[in-house]
Amino acid sequence: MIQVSDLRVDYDDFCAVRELSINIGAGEVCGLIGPNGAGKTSTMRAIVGLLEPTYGTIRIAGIDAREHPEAAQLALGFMPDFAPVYEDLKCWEFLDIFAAAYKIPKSIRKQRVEQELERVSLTEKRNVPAGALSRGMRQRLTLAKTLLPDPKVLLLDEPASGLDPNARIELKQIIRSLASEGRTVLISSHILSEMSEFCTSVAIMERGRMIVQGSIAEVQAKYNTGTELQIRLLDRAEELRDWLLQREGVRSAEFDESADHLFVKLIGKEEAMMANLLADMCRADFQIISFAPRREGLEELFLKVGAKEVS
Amino acid sequence: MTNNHVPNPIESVKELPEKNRFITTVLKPDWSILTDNPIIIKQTRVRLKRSSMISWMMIVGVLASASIWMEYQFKTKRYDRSAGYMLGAMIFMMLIIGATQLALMINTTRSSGMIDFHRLSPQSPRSLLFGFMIGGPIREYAIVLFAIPFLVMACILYGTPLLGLIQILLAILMLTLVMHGMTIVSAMLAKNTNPNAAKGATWGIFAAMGMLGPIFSGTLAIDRLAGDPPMVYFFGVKANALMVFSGVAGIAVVFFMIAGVRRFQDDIRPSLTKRQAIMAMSLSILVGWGFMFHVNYFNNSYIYLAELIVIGIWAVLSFLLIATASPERVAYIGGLRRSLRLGLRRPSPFQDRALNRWVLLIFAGIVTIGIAGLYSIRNEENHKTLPLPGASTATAVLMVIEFGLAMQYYRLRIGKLAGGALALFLFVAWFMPFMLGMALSLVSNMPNENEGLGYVIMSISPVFGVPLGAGVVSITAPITECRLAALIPTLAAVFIFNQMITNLQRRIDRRIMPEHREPDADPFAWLDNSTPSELVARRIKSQP
Repeated sequence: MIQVSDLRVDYDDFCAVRELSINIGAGEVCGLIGPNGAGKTSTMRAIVGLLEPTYGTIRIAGIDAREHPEAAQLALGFMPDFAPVYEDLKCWEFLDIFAAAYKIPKSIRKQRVEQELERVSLTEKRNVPAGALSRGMRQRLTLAKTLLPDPKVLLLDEPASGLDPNARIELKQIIRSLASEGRTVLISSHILSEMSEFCTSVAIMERGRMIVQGSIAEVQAKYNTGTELQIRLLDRAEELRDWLLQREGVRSAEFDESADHLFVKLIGKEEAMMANLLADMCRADFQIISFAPRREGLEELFLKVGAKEVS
Repeated sequence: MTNNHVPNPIESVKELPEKNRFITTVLKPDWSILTDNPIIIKQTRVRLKRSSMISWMMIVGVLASASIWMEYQFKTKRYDRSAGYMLGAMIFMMLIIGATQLALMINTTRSSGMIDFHRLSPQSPRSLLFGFMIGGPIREYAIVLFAIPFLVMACILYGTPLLGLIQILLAILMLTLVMHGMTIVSAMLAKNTNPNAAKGATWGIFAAMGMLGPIFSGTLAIDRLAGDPPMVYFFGVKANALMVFSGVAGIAVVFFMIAGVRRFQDDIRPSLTKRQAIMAMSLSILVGWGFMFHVNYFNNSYIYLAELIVIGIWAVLSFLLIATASPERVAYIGGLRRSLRLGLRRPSPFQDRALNRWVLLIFAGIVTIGIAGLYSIRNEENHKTLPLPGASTATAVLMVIEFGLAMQYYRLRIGKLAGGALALFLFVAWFMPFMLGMALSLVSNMPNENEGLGYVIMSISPVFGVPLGAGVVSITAPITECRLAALIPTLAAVFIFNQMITNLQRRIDRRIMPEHREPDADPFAWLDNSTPSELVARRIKSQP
């Protein structure tokens, strides 16, 4: 659905995006992550056509976005990190003028506006001037504006930045529902723990380059050299730690008193090895409450991938 | 997620298409840009609220009615005065207040980032341009439209010809469009998008109005043009001056609209393409010739002064157009990278990202033809008056090239600070000699022994060297020395800047090219483990 190849963006002498290629399929929710200055926003702005790339090909839903920008823009919705609004217009008026901009027929314009206001839970605020809305509400209003043309592809640049926890939860729910409708979403954010809840794939950028891209499982598999286990016992945690450290295939074992968990790192990823280990522990009369392989979140993955590539 | 899309280097370097070309931009009839334009809808809702419009209409209605009624009561000989008042107020409202509102709206939309939302929608740049042009000063237009019936009433009551009134209104409308077009382009080019900047400009305009008071009060008598329209001999053909003015303003409006459309498309694009800049310059030459026919018609002995003014206008216009044809450093490097990917050494000379040297050459040619044309327009009588000598003509042309090369050099060398560096250079090269020469001329007592030397030093600045060398400023100036003093430094500056640009270009090339150099192909790659028949089959397959 989003095909970017060979993209380069320059600002004066500084190259913000360097020969970047990314291909996101229909219905995917891809998290674009990277530190500040990695080139995420430049990539997004180039994809939506706000920034003229030095070179590169961008296709949105099969349409060449640089050859046919107006057609591509109908398939595309973009929400920047700081969403501006016309402060002197009421919420419905704000959406109405963009409905005109998106060439939605006058006969169904009002209906579409009400629909989108309802989707972002702003129906009650329809007659309130946009300037009087809180930051979270403004973000939602801008999201409603972005959804007006019913875009197949959504690009959200730091949508949760500056929002309070409640607003973040609401936004997360909206994004989740959009993903469930089968839209392709490319989302950049620093709050990686939240992104891991709805992203199906990830693209990690560093200094303008794409370091890795793929489904979260693929990237985890690529960068995981071993497995981490999280074990909780009724008692004898320290005894188990010493017992584990004497076994083959265990790289490290640490007891975290505050979390009341034993964290064990294994060499290798075979599931059979984990099953054997559990059986042996039971045979050795350790009273196990929980035993689970620990899934790495995007945060750890990003740190691991970033550190590896930079080094 | 897969990554099987193979980048096509040719496809990836395609130039961004022009969304709106000349004809389609301005003349393509798409009425939805007027009837269903989001910017106009927005402005209508914000600035044409019933409550505020009722107040405005009451004020306009009462003032206009009172003006008509008072004139009627006093029964003065100058019955047409009330129409003059109304026209003067309309000019003030549309030109000054309207342009200020327009600049304010563009600055607010740009600084808030809303302009990006409009650019992201399928709304075309043409629609954005019309939206801002009509929507920005929509209240001012509404007030003026409301006042027109009163104006017509005044004209009918006092016998002012309606056809003349229509011609005046058309001229005012064209002047308004020129002003608004200029406002749009300058607001879209401005680096400072703070809305307060537009407010500051408003105060500046008001201050200027104070100084231009007499001119403004002149507009109060504009209605008299309706009864007795001035005539011009444009290209020797007698025509109504208001209609000629409207036509010339119309040409300017078209170019401002093209520039506006390009700037609404994105912030990086120059206002005009190089070809459009050349076309604008050529048309300005034609218009200049047209008006010189009028000056020449009256056998005016001061024709040379008119010629110098026309040349000065051409020079200023060429400076502005050269600025649009001179790419910034980042644009040039981007263009170079694109070209290298296409296997070309440089962008073609007429692309936006190409250096301005070829365009300068064409500009120089156009200005030379323009000046030569001015002399050929002179009739027998006027040939006896002062001609602009060849040296001064050459200096004027070289001055245009010098400015263009200096601008290109600084833009290429120091990027964003180029404007300041160019201003400093022009101050040193074009203004300081004048100041020094002037000081030298004035410092001694009369008879001034250094007066001649003062004029020569003044001439080092080509801006003053051209008229001094032509002998139109002072008869005591040593003409030949002044001509040489103007010509030699200008010529030297042209050569120096040209060489510096070439050196800089080489340095940039050296920095950019290694990044794009493909790794050398293995010359023996074809000698793999394939059998001879496989090699032949592969070769046949690879043939197009």
